[in-house]
Amino acid sequence: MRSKVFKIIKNIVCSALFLSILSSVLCYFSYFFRFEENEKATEIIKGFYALDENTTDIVFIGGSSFYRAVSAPKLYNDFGYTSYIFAAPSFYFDAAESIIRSVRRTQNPSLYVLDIRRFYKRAMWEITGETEPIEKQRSRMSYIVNNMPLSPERAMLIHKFYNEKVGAKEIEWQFDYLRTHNNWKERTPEDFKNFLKETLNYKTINKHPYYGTISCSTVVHFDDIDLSQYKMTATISDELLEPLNETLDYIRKNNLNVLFMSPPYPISEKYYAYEKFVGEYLEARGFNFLSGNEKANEIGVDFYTDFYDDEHVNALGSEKFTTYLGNYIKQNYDIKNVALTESQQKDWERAYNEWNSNVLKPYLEKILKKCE
Amino acid sequence: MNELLNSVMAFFSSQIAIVSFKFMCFVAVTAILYFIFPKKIRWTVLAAANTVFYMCGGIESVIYIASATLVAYLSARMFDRDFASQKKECEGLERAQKKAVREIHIKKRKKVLAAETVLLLASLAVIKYTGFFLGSVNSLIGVVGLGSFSVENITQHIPAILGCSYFTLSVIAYSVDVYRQKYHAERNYIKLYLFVSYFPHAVQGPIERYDYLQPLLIEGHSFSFENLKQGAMLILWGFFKKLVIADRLNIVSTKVFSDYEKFSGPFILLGAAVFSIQLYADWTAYCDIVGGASRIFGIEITRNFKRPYFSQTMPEFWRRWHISMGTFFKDYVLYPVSTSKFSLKINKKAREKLGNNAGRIVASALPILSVWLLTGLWHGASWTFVLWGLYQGVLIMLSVIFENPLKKLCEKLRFKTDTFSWRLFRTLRTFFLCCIGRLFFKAGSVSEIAGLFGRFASFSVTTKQFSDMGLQNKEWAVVIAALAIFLIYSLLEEKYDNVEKRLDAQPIIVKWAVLIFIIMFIVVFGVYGSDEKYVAFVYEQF
Repeated sequence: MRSKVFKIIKNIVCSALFLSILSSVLCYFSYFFRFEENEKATEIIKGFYALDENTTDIVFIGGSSFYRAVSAPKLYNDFGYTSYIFAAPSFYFDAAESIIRSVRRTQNPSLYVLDIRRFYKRAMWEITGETEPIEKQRSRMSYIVNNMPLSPERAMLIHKFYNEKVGAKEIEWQFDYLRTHNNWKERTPEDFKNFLKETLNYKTINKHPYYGTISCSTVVHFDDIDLSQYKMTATISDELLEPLNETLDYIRKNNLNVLFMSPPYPISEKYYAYEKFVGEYLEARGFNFLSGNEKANEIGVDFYTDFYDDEHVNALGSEKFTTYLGNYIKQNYDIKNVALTESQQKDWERAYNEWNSNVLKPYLEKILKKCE
Repeated sequence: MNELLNSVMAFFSSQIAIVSFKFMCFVAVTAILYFIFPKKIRWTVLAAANTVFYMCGGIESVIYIASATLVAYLSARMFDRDFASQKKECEGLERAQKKAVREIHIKKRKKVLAAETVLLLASLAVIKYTGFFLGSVNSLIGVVGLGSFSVENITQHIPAILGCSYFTLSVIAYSVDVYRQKYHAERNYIKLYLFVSYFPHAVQGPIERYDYLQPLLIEGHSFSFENLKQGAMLILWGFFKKLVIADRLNIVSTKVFSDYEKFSGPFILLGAAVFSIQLYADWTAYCDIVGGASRIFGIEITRNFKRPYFSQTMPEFWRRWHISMGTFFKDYVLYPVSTSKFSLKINKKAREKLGNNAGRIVASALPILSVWLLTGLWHGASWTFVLWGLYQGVLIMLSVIFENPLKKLCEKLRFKTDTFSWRLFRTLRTFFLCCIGRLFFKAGSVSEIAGLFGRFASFSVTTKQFSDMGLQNKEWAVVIAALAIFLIYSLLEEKYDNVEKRLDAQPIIVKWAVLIFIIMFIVVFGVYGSDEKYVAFVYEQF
């Protein structure tokens, strides 16, 4: 009887151990087959997870407007804030809570800055029926999901987003192999070597040189915008406000410091109506909202020189906005700077120097030349 | 609660594909219930599970199986009662009287058996061959100029019954065995229904024998971790063969045979070879998956294949390929036809006119060709299958005819026939003959067979034809690697028979490394996912 019981226990333990080892192997190699659709987004998201633990004062979570508008090296150099721009093109606001949870696994920032533009734009599309193609909606989150490490937060994000509404099957996203295993045809032995190298040197290989900041020197000229001329009003239903409310509940429950932000862009009357509604909604609930459009004069925005398209600022716009943002944060928040080691400080200095000499100065020169 | 109910209903509203998460869930739930129930009534769980399995494919399948089982049940019970009454009537009688009584009863039982067999085969014919028959009639009247009609309008009303070709033969075998007094009839209708409908052999066989399987089904087996492990390993191996080998080779065989005019002779032959391997991998994958599922319950179903491509002659091939069908036709067609009065008459006349040897060969032609004609027809409602069956029959006949002369020739020439190279030559020759047979099997029509053979007039080999076969170089590399693994497994199986047992006996680290390797191979290189279409098992269509 004793030996029978022992045998049963041994079998159960061995089976559990085997399944654990198998799961680990499957999880490990799943990273090798993931799609890499957008190099920029891949570098930014992976760069976040390559950070040393607890080295950021501020984490920005949002879309491409964030990594274009905010210069992390400048924020460090001018204001002493370490930060990271956790952003991917066309970020989906519903993912905010899952991403904050994921961020909190390795970082403990004093301030989170969330991209509210993605929220009100989508709400507006739902109301006006101007929905984006399903493939574009699906791809929004794939830039983040494909580069996040396997975790409960990633599973939560997938569960929230990948459903019939966006023409996706959740199981194919939870179990990557269902979608990605055919990538073996595109992968080469060189890719596998790099994958192994990355495993051993994840932090070194994936470190983002500018902490998530990207810029450009393109200039698209726009006419000045006078918001006082915009008369349109808008409301968003409770149903559409649900993702925002859920995020606010999470923030309150966990006592997080959050700033909702929308960097400046040549905003239309329709979009401004929704931005205004959301701004007032947030402020009524005790949250700060920074509208780059409303503060355009104070920021010093020049619609002729500062934009690279109708959604994003260029390097010049970024410089102005980051200065304004840094001052705003200084005035409104008590940021407790994280303690950096000497090598970490040196890296920030390196980031700023390289950003300044290799990116900012050349881009500003180009922009100014184009605007002569 | 409603949502859960709806999910459960949706889950079981479509047929359970063997290579699916649904099937694994089905087996898991059935196994849990099976081992929870008291030993004496565990068989009822299987009967219920079988019903659920068939219901997912449509209520018609359940009704058909239940009806076929009822027919066999009543006939077999009748045989048993008749034997008993015959015995009673013969008590105290003289020899001649006993013979007379016996003859009356034999005639009666023969009539019942004939009626039952005709009924079952007629039902099968209606389901399988109506389209074929009507299509042939339609072509004939078209040729004669009497117009035409829509075959689909009629055949669309005929339900598709899951596994009818397989369980019909099982049921006939059962009845014939009871008729021959091999064993007594099953008194419990549900137990007989359990045997007929047992879900692991539902879709593609094997064609089980009642006296082998029934005791295993009725006996309440205890849970065994070894059975669970070995069953799981077998299922895993089945998935490997299906997803990595068969479904990937399916891409090639589909490309070659759907557009054969693009390809020259060597590529048609390569396509046939690919299809031969695909078919073997596909079918044995099914057998392994259902065999593994059955083993979890402690029930070992009949092995249907025994490394047929290692055969050195065609008769040997057919002793190793679809073994259950071969033994069925041997026991219920070949022997009865060979020992029938008509056959014995022909045998006698042939020996008188042609001599013993030639006479024996001519006499054996009738039963052999009958078996192969029926085998071809069983496979499908098409003239291509009839021709395929006759091709196989002719090959078997040629083997019989040339066996002794070839042996004598080799002895005269002092040819070493116990060498590896000779065995390899015979194995490759047999494989080549199989591949030619596959051309009949795969062709959609008789004219297509002619077209395929016509392609052998061209021997051009170009890289374009190779790339037109549908696989990239990398995929070919994966296929070759997978076939190498398959070959190693087959060689081990040839030597040790039960590879799962031997693997289970290895040190834990070796066992786990092999299993993880196979699982990763399936996960990475398997043909599955939303990008890929589900490829049904080839023999499911039969």
